[in-house]
Amino acid sequence: MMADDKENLRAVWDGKIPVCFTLATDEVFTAEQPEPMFLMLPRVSYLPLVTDKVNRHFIRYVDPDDHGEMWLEDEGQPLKWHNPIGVLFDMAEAESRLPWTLTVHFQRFPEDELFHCSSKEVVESYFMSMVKEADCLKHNSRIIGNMQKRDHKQLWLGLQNDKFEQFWFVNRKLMVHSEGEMFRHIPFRIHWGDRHFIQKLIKPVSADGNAVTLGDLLRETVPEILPKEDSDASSHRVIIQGCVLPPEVPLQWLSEHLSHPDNFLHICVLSA
Amino acid sequence: MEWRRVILTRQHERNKKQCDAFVGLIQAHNKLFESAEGHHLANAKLTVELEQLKKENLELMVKLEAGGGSGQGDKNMAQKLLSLQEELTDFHKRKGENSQEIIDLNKAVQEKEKELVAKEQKILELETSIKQLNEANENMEQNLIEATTANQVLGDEQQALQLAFTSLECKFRKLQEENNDLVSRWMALKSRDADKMNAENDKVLEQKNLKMQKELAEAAREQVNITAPTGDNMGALGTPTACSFVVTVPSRAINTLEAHDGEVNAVRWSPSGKIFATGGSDRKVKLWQAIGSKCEAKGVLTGSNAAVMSVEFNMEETLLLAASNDFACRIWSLPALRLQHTLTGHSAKVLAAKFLGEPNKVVSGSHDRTLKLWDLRSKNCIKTLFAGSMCNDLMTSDTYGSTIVSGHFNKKLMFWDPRVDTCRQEILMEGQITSLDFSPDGMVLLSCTRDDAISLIDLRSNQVMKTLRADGFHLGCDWSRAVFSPDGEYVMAGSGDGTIFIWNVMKTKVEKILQQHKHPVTACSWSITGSSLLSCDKQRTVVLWADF
Amino acid sequence: MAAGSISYEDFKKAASYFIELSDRLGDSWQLQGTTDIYLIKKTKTTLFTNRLTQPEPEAQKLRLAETETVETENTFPGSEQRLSTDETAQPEVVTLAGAESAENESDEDVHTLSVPHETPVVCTFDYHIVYSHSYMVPVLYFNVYTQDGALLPLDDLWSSIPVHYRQSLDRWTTLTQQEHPHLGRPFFQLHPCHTQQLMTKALTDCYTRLRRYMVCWLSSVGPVVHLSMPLAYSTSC
Repeated sequence: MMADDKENLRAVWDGKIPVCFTLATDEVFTAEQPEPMFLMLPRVSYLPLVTDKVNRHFIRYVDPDDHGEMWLEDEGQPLKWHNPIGVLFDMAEAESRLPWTLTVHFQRFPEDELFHCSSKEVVESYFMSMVKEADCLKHNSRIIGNMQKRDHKQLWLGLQNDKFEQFWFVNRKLMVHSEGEMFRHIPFRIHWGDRHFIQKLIKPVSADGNAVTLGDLLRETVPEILPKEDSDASSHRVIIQGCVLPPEVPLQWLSEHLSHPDNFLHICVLSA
Repeated sequence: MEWRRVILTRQHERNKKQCDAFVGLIQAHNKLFESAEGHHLANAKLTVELEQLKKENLELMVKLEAGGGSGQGDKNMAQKLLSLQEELTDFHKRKGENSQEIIDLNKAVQEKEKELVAKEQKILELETSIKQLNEANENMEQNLIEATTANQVLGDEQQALQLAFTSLECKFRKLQEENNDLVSRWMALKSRDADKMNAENDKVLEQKNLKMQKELAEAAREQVNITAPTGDNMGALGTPTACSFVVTVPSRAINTLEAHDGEVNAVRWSPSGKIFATGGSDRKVKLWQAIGSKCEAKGVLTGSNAAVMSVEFNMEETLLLAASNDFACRIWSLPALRLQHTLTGHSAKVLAAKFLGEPNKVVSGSHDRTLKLWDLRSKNCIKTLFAGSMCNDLMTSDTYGSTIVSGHFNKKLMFWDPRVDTCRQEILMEGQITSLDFSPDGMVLLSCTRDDAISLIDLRSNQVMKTLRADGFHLGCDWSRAVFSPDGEYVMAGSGDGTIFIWNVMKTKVEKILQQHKHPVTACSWSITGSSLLSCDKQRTVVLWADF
Repeated sequence: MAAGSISYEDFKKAASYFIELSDRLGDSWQLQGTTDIYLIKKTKTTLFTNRLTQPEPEAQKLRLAETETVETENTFPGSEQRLSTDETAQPEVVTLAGAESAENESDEDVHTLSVPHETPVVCTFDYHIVYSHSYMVPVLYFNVYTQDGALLPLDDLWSSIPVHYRQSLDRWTTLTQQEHPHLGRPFFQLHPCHTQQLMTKALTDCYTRLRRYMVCWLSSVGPVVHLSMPLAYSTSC
């Protein structure tokens, strides 16, 4: 069995976010004020892959002698481009303020918070490292190790060019698991507030042979966010791919279908 | 597997909410954005293209100007073009030179044409003059013919006249002969008469002598003791002694006469006091005789060409000397009233002329700043004395040798010895000197100056003795004359307002003021008789003053 | 458990051994963290790089292509197996003409040409050894700061790596910026995907395994990023 719920895969892939880009007002160098720019960004993609146009558009309005790498900011928070756009969006809790308005910067790059991204290769490099780590968790690097470089490239280009089929043609190999032999561990990261992500070794099947569910994972990793036994009201929301999910969903299925292209299940914990 | 559906639904809901609501909008926006961008780009591109085209155009134009062509051909063409351009420049240069030549030639042609026109004009003129000359020639010929005929006629007439003349001459000779004959006859008759007269005279003389002898004989019988003075003696002495006369200062004008037309410049009693002379601007000298209160004109001396400035008798009253503004002095003989000498040589008007003590010598003073001595026998100027200033009056004196004193415009009195050329002595006065006079004893010199003063100078010390002034005494002109009375007790002078002032020299004050003249008084003269005064003014008038 | 990997408990033991050794040798490694431990060390090193002053995009591109070429002739331990498969994938990726047939000497030529002059820069290296639960191996994180406190850019960092490493390593898979697992800040990470294979070969003696694990691993990977391991570490453990 492998990722076979195409509808859900497709829904994950097709998830887009309306974003409005504006240039930081103190960086406008020209007399002319730049127009804001609107884009529908795929949740599964990375900011550097989809903001070429934004860069091209706004760089004309900044001081040509004093500008560096472009970076984006949301309400004072630099956006870590190495996280998928959907994760950034969910973590920003921007659902209520659509379109999501981001401020474009060309100066004062916050290098103690953001990775430098001088080219797409940097994104590719990071993406591949994530894929490799995920495969290491799932298959002890067996599959990615056996893949040809061409497959790596195809995987990457599928993502870069928003080609679902091309991507999944390679990605499905990374999702294989035979009956009885599930993933070794579930690659996931829990993003919770300003804190660093939480990543632990969680197996999809418990020692007693039962499928481990999302609820189990949360209990294992972040028990403090779960509703106390004496109260119904949850103090936190758990969001994956922009959706609140039932806790009984098995992790194996979640990992197969709701992971981002980096093969990680990004779980956002937001306060209610 | 209920959760699958739930998840899918939730995902769809999510997409519906986050995606579907915006996708169309953003797509539309992007389309617009891109199209705007596209337009921007296209615009920029077009601008660039336009710039390029402009540049190309410019280049092409430059190329076109350079002569077009391309590559090797271009080079050749360029070379050819260069050579052609050089040729062209050459041609232009040559053309320029040619046109310059043409201009020069045209100019030459024009000049020639001008010359031609001038020549033609000349020719025309010459032709007309030729014609005129021809005409004149014809006229002349005509005239000649006429003249010849006239000549002929005249010749004939002359011949006729000659004949008549000859005949007349013959007659004349005959008449002359007759005349001679008559004259000789008359002479003969005359001589006969004379002989008769002589004889008669002889007879009368004889009778007279006889009568005289008779009377003498009678007289010899009676005793007579009388010594009569001889008039001859007096004349030889020269200076009449005035002691015999009583000088009185008259107070009445007994006669006023209009002597000359215009100014009367000079008036002078003769040394005997019988007649007087006046000289005026009417160029005449007039002689008058005062009989009682009447003045009779005794004659007019003419010959002067300008106003007469002074008159002077010689002691014998045989000559009258007048100085004239016509630069000359003239001398007339008196009883005959004939002009005897004209002394010319001064180069300006002569203000004064006097006889020198020696016979036949005259001295004159002129505004030409010289004095001249004249010899009447040779009628020549024998000496010229250079005074350096215009002479207004001069006097001669015998008392101290032969001395000339002259009064000048430069306020100087100058003393001259006629035998020496240079001035013996000078005295500087207070004003321009208008007239001079000697006292009768010759010891005191009177000098009338333009500062309205009359100075009396002791000639022994050459010091100003006295100065006579008076209120209202203002000289009327540069040659106003003042004079001593014959006894030297009084000085008389006329003022500019017509008043005559008479000073008592001893008292140094005005003795009398006489008023008759209406015009400035120019000169005056005191008769040797002592009681008759003459004065003249600028308006014709001469006044005779006397008490009888 | 695979031969080259190490459990977290073992890592902790190995780390404490290593710290002990470091203290003994007067090195400056320190233990950090309580439940999740990691080791840190700060040193100053003078780097020679030609990229610090002026970026050279052309040379950069060239080098990028080279490294990919070089990887096909990989001499990295344990990658012989992949060599044959990689060569088939080659044409898709490599665009540099003649790169396939490029000899070592010509490569060196290119390198010497692309590094014509090098400028010495004093840098502060901040090394962190962190255990990766995913790979079950220690991972070397580090940051390099220039004198003015700025991060040394990846390009400069890469060009400072000794030539023979650059020839044998893929730049984009060897060095990546990652979030520090404990600090959350960006750190460069020497990618751990080959560590297990390396250690499998390096360590055969099970008895002294934990004592030597860190020294062995660090002396293998350290030189790539200017981390010097005195010989005393090997002789003392």
